[in-house]
Amino acid sequence: MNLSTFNFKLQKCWAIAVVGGSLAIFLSLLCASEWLLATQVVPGDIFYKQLKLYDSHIPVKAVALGDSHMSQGFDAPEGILNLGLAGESFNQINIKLRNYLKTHEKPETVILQISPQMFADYRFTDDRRDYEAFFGGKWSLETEWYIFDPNLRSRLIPYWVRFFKGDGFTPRAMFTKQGALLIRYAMSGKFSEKDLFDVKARVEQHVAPDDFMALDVDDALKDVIQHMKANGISVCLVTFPVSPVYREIASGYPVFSRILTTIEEMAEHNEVPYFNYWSVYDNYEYFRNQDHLNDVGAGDISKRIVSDCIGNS
Amino acid sequence: MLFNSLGFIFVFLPLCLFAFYAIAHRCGGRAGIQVLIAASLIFYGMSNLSHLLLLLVSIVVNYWLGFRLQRKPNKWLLILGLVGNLLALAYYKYADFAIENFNYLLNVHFDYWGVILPIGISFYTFQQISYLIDSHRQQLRANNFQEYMLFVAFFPQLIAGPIVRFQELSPQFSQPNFGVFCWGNLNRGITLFAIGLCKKVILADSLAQEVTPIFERADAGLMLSQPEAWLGLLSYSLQIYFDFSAYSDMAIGLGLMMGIRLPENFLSPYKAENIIDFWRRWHITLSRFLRDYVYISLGGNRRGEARQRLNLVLVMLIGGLWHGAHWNFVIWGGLHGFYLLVSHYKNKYYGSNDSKSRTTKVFNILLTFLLVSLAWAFFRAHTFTGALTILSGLVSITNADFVYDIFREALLPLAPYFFIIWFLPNSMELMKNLEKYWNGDARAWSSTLVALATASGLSVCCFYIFSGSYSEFIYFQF
Repeated sequence: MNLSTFNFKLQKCWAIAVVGGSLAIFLSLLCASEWLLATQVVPGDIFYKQLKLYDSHIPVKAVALGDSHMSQGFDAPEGILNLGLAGESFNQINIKLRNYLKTHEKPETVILQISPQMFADYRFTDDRRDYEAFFGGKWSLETEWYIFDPNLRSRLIPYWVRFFKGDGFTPRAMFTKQGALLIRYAMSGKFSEKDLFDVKARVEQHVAPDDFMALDVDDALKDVIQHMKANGISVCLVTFPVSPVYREIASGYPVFSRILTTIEEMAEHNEVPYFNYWSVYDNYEYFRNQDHLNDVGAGDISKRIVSDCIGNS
Repeated sequence: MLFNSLGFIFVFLPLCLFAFYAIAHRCGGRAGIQVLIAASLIFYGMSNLSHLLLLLVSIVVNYWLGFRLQRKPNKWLLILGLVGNLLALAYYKYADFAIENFNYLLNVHFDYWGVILPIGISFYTFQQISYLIDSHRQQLRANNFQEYMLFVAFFPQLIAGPIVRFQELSPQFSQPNFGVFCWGNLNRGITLFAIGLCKKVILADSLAQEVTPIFERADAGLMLSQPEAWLGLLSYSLQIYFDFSAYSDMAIGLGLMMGIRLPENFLSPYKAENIIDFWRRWHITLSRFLRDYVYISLGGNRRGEARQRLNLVLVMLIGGLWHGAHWNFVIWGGLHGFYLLVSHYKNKYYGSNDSKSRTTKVFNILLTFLLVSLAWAFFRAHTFTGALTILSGLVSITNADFVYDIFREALLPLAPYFFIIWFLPNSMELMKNLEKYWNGDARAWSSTLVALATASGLSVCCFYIFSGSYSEFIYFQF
């Protein structure tokens, strides 16, 4: 065999090895990822736990919806379902609620969280998951591939890192039968310079644009309320507590108080009860971080919410 | 369509390669050119059809002007061509910027036109300008329209360079073996493409996760801690290098897959010992364009020292403005112009101390990197305040341990990236080192290992892309 024939063969083998090897490794990575998601991630994933709960069709007299403040701050008692989920936008809440009413026995009351944090810009841009598919019955836990869930897919790399680090996927928080996510950790109330910096950064992240009403939340909310009323369901709006340090920093941004006033006006205008618990706690033992309640805080505020909302409906 | 998308890698590219080689094999190199033109137009048209029309009109008009200029140099025809190209660029790129400044200066409130920037317009306009000037200078001769069209629209370099000259591509199209399939070229192309993809998806995009929130906060005028400011700035310096050089690697790699050699665009710019050296290594084809068609046209160094310095600064200001319609880019260009002036004065009065000793060399490299990084603050920030927030954050000392804090929170996390830019060979050097594996000069097992490493790199990048951990190339916006 002369040199050019040898080179030709070598180069051909090399190219085939690279292209074939790439495809084989890529497909193996996809299969391995599906295994990782199905066996390690999804069993502890809050979204899928909630989806399971949602699909279980437990008859309830009230349903609560909102973001992480609702999810972690409302320890719903029996008969009330907490469908709050971290990061959910108004649009997603709306879709979830409408589908719930279509496919489930109608509850008497809907407790809807509405907070200034939900008006922040970033909350209107992250609609990765197709809520219509998930909560409208088009997605099946048994037959669908998890790697095609855009939310899980977008976290594949961190999941693998976590897997290889051996950190595990068991959530530290407790997911209750009624859908609450309770976290047993209390803040100390003492803040280093770095802590204060982080709180400030967190507040800044939550600052809504000055023209927050242009975000169509008003219309979306009106739409939800009218839909509920048309179905004979009473609506109760709540704003969850935040820690004193968060309140203090947020008071430097007038948009927070403007939003709270606007919510109050919206509630009045739509004739629905509204309970603002924004500044009810000065005790850090009720908080797991600057703006989320822990299990103790959730236990306490839940009693108030149930009493105020169910009592008023 | 992005090079770093699964649609491009798994569908467009294989189909394009297959069609190109199959048709060129059956019908000859000319037919191969037609296939590449069709592929390039599809590639470009998929993002915006009206912009494709603009590209086609621009190609036809410039080809006709070039053809006339080649037959008979005509200063006025050249000026017409240049003004036409620059007006189109000005309309699409700078109209709203001009309105904004007009409104500000005259305190009026004209509405913005909201013109959408056609992707790649800055690059293909420069390429066509170079064609017109070279035609006028009688450096080009008898070319055909298909070759010209492919020179402008060739998809690997259409969007973000390298900025190619007609003389570099045209002879390759006319070679007898153009369109003849070669495993060696395919291997070289795939490997360089894989290197670029890894740089983009694994290095640049992971740095972007650090950079984006920090600069967003700076642009919003929010405070930054000192280590954050350092982390943001240094991460961006690294990100833009990995991102843009990745694009160039991928473009050159794609060209190689089709047997077309595109010019090198980056040669370890952060190993530069001074700013003059930096511009010989960074975005080489843009520097070359600015030198050959702007600096020399302005008189270069032929009209005295003062005029030469002025030309240098003007060229850098134009280079800055070329990057985008914002004063920050002009400031960035101005800063580099200033750096270049200082460098020239230093070389003139104190002589060049490049490579005199190892310590001096290291100091020079670090100083150059720092100066370049400081200028990147204006390049990356969307507002002037944002850039100042970053720069003031660098020196806002809040505690006595600030050096340790910067080391721990900014330098240490970036250490692997610094290792890559300062201690590893660049893509072109790496490619030279890999030649032995394709020529049969290496042992079989080591060749297998390199093939496996390339395959792993490619597949891991595809996996990253599948997971959504990728973004547009930075230079797409220019």
